[in-house]
Amino acid sequence: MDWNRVWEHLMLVSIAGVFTVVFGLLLGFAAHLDRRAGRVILAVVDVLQTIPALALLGIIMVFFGGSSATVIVGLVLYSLLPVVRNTCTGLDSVSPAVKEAALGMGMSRAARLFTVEFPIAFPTIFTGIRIAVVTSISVAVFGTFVGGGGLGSVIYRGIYVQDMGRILFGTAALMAMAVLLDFSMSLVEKRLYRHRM
Amino acid sequence: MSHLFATYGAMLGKAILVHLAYTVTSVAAATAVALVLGVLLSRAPRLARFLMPVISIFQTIPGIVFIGILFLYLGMVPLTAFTALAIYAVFPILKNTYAGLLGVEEKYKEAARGCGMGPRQILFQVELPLAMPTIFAGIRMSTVYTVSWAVLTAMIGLGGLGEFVYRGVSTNNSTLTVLGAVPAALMAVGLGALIDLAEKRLTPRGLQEVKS
Amino acid sequence: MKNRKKLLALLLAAATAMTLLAGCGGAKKKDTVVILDGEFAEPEIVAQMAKMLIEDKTDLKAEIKDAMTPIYGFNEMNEGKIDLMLSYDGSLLVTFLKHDDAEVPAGMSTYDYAQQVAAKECKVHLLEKLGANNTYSIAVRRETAEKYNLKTVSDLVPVAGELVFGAEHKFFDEEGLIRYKPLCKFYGLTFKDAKSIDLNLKYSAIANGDIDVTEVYATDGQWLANDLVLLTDDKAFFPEYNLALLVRNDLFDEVKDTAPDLESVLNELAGRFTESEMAQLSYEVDVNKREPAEVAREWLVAQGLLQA
Repeated sequence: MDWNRVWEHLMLVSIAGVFTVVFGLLLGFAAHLDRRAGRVILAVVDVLQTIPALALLGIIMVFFGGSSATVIVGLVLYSLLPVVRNTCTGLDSVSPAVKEAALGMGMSRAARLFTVEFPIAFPTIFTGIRIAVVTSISVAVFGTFVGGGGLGSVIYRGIYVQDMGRILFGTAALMAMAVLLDFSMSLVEKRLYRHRM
Repeated sequence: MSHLFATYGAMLGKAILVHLAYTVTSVAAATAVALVLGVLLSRAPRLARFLMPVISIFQTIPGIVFIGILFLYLGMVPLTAFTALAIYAVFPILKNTYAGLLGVEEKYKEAARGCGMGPRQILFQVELPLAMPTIFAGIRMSTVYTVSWAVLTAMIGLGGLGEFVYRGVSTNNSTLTVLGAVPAALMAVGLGALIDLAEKRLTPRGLQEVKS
Repeated sequence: MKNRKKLLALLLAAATAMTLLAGCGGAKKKDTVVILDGEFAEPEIVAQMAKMLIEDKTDLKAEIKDAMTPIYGFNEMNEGKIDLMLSYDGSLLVTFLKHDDAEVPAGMSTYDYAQQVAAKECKVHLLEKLGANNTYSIAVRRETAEKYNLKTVSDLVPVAGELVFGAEHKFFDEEGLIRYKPLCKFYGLTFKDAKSIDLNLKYSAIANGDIDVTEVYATDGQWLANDLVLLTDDKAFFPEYNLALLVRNDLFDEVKDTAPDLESVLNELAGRFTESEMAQLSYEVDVNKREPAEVAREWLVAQGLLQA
């Protein structure tokens, strides 16, 4: 069975995941800090997710060619919404009382943001990251149409040679990947959060 | 530009209609099924606790699998597209219906019981209205995903906006890809707005939140 | 005010990160031949054969890049990003260089004319022909052929109105010359309906009766398996499509230190294939569900080009 396709798929999702977190957090912070920019940012990431994945990849392909780069860029753009929105919402929902207390302690704006607000918003933010990663496992299937490989190739080949076994293998691999990634992320969350509350 | 519309105009119009038809019918059917199942599951907590994670996992199965498998068994007929998309659309709505119903605070149900309401009345007049926002969020998500996966109906020869995307990708003609992508995105946004409107209409005034 | 500064800093960080991501890809010495994978069995198999020959007989490595449409491959080759792919003289002349097949001077072969035009208009050329002509054919189910007594494409004209034509999305391209609309115009065909479907799924569709007439590649194994009948192209609409490897002009120069004999290694495949042999290899992949690499290796060993 095509284990290197499974590995390919995992790589696509993981690399995209890292960039999604980085950009998602940056944009989420930006949206939280500036109301107007926030509205624009949120509207853009919303539209990005609304564009059908295959079409989005087709457009990106114009710039990056048919390669895993296209798939990764596409996955990142598609997955930004949950992370950006949850980061922004999470930070927004930190109670003013807490922020005032930090101010009262003499913290600078930056210090307060990173050492007080961010940890409080973390559960919400992390949920967004989890949703993004699990969704991208599914979306990465489209990668086969733009030269990015992955489990989409397995499923597609299974369909055209009418090999149920292949289709089931690809699907089972996807589901297993989703369960494993989701589970390991919940473990990570618990560890990161253990010493907080 | 006018050459583009002359050549592809009629085709695009037809593709949009086909795509819209598949999306709307699938989501409508899925909503009906998911609502019923969601209500039933909310009444059977032990079964639900086992089934819900399973359903979450099934949600990760991409639409292409349903479309592909049903194509092999049912062939190139609209029923294939409709069934595959409908099955796929059930999961988000089902999950949200269940979560929404479970999220209704006990105090409301108690108050209703105190008023002498029977279980069916409680369901329709208290629980469902309170769960509305969550249920509608599920319907919205389902619709956007369905518009996305309906792009694949072209893969099995059933038309839709996917035809432009496929043709664009297989002839390395990005204009065609965009010609398929933009209407699809607009459709998703438009349908989402319609669902928001429906939500406003269906939510009793007393429960409507003032959205900022 | 402080908020704006923070915002700016964050956006700057994001922009830097993005440019780093885009800039990831430096130049390196040419030691790998980049081969484009095929969208269907035949080019997949030949890509594997090329890779195996390169890695076995030269010091170069070969990398097979995931399949994209051949037109994309052609563009990428001209930009130097892909080195090699299986192609056809007809494709080069008509699809990539957009010339009419009718332009070929009398007495000259499509292959020679294609090479001539390519030398002037692009940066790729064909290696020696592999031996098979994988031209298009119009096909129907056996029962349909028997019912309407169809032997040639012209026989379809009176009954086309009762039949549904189906083919891959690419065949309906409005910009190409050897495509659905030009075909119908040339023969005077008016089909009941035309459906565009994925390349590899059209065989299920015609077997099921969802479509009645399709276009197939002569060396595709799948039409054999589905008991389709090929109709003769009596008015010669379709040009020749002789298999040959398409290679980037500068490739051999770039690797002449590491592999001066690369061209002759690749030309070892020349003239070894017939249509039925190629069809048989495709059959192994499409119908017997074997991996292209396995089928390629088996054939190369049988031909004595590779040690077992």
